[in-house]
Amino acid sequence: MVVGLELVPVRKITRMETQQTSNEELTLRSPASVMRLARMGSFHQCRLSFMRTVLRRLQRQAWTFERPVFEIDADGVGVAVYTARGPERAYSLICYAHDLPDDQRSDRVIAEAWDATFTLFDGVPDRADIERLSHHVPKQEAGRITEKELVLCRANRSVRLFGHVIERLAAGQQPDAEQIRSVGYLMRTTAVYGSGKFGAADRELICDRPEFAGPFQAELLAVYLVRAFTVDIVEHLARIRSPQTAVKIAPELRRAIGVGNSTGLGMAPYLISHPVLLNNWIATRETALARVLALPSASAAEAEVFRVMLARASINAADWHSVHPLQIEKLALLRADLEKLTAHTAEADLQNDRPWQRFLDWTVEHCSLEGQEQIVSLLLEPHGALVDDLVDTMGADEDAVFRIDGAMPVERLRAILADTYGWALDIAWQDRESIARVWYISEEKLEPRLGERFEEPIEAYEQPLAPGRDVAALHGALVQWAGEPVTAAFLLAHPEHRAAVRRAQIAAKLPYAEIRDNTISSELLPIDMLRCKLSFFGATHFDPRSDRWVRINMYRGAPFPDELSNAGDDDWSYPPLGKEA
Amino acid sequence: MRVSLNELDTMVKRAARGAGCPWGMAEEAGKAARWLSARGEPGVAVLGEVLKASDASCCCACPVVLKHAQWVMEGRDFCSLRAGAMLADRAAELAGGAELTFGPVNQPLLLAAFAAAAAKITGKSVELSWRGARVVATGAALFVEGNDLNVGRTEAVTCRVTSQALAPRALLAGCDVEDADWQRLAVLAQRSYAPATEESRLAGAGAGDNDND
Repeated sequence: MVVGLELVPVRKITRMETQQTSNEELTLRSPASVMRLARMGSFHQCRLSFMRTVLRRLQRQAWTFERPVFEIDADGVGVAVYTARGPERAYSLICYAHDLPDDQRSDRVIAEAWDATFTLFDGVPDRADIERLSHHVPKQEAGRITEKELVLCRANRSVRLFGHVIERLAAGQQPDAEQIRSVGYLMRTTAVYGSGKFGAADRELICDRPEFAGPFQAELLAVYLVRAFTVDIVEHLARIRSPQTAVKIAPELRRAIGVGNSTGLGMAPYLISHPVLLNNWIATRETALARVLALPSASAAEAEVFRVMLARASINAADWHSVHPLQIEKLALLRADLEKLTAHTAEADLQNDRPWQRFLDWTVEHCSLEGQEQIVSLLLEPHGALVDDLVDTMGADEDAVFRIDGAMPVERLRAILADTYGWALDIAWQDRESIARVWYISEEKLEPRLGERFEEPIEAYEQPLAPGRDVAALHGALVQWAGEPVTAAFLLAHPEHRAAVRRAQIAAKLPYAEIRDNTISSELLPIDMLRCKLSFFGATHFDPRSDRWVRINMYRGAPFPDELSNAGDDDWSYPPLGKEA
Repeated sequence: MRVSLNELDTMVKRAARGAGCPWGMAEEAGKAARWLSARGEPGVAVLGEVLKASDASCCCACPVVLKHAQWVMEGRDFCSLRAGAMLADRAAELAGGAELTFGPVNQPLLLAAFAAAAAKITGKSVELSWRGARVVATGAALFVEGNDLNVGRTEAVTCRVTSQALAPRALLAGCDVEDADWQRLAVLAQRSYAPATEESRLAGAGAGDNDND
């Protein structure tokens, strides 16, 4: 299927708190095309992704790493501390390792015990801190942390790989490369909490620090250190099992070990409830793309980088496994697209006459959404110097747009709805299929869930995650409004439309703030929202377990802390050449 | 207990929803409680009282009318959450020199958070006064004086811009809340969560209970 892309000139893309780029005149892809769930569900990581930003900073600023505490017994129980030191501050991951019975191993929020639990501590903890936190961190949501802690997370072993690696290392052998490649991680995290959750430091307390100005930098620093722990603990347990024969994992195999993550619905509402952040992420990626597309020419070296990265992306696609029918279909499309694209690079001129615009045009004409979005990510690879500065524009202050403009004429509000929410006003909201789903929070550990409106007694608990429907209802009320024609007067009479008015005013300012699809339709695939968000994190190997649950890999291929100073220049996120399956 | 401001915001928002507020008003409640608490004012306790009144009788359908130059909510005391939202929505009128008077109002201290919102929009300090108390808010700072700041109700609150400037003040990192106040919100918030059922547990999250692979 060929999906066309409407391009519109956007004279000035509004992005909150942006200076460098606000005056650029670039042609950006239209929100009406970009903000569709099918496309968002085909995004891939890119140079702007947050894991790559974290590692670029650690490398550029020559952060150092220590492991001041590592006290783990033969059952794998104990505590370890990893400290990362930057130019101004140090942060420490405190790891509590547990002996978890198999029947308690669950990646759901409703789990109550894990193989390992972690917190990212602001500074270097002393024994009293480690002792205090040992009563809370292992309990996760049921414990309390403080402003001295920035992140709370946990991980479970990959039962498939964890035992295998210990067994092999203990016997003096390397683990099976194929098993490492097919699983990809020793442990997978099942939730990574920051921003004041469970008593942790509020984001306002740390967002002035350059290392945490970007989104999710503290959380992803924690995950990077978790990865080091997962390898250290298997090597340690192998050594305890057989001190005479045990060996360490070979560096090349170790690189292929990332951190898994198992993610459910909590992430999907996040995209809807953080419209400024969503806008800034997408606007930044679109601006980066537009900068590259506007280049009149590319050097031979840049063209070669693109060819190499395309080849490496093809290896990545070949290595990417899923058993879910939806993803199998998407992977088949992606692989077919990459074959076509590889053949095309052999004949296309990648250097002259706006080469990247022509290449993307060709891709849009010949490839699926998977291939199109893969190319968008790959086009940024040769041009780090041109786009990497944009990561500074990806943070967001949601509060800056929270306040409603009550002086806005009702006529203007109506015009915004017509301009920005045409897609929503066209939906037949009276149809059951259009409102089939309900987003809700269960009283069971407050797990976010999605249910069937007409089959379950859940409508009374619905979360406000259907902006399209709510704005359509607002439109109906505005059409009938005969009072004083200003927003303040309308809202005084209709407090029930306050949330929709707020969203509409935000969407009018920020073109990529709103997903332009029905988020409660019977056709909704929540994994599209998860993939969009996780691609910005830098995740790879999306492996859905259902329409609303996905496993991913984080930091696979990345240099470990002890390798960082000698690692290449942000060159880890696609597998190296010469490792074809 | 000690809570982060983010937790406080979320708890108040859910409690407001549990008390029957529309989502847009629930969001206002969370942000207002957070603003007050970050400045050492009893945001959680004040919202607990406001939501108790909302829960007893929802004010969403109550007409608001202007009587003798005073905005009143017909048939009851003006809910300070509604009054606050109205005040912030009319920031431009205030900046233009208009005076708004509400009354009688419950928990007038809550209005300070909305006066601050109006101040942020207009770039001017906004003053609230009622019998026995005066409050000045800028976008970031709060000045309070008088013996009757935290009263349950007052006959009239007047709101206007003022030339009084305030020095910015460092925000608190998290805040200590009374367990009883927090618990009262938790009870209301609980009503916004769906009861646990086997069906929901199995189907709602899209993953099974076990992860042994």
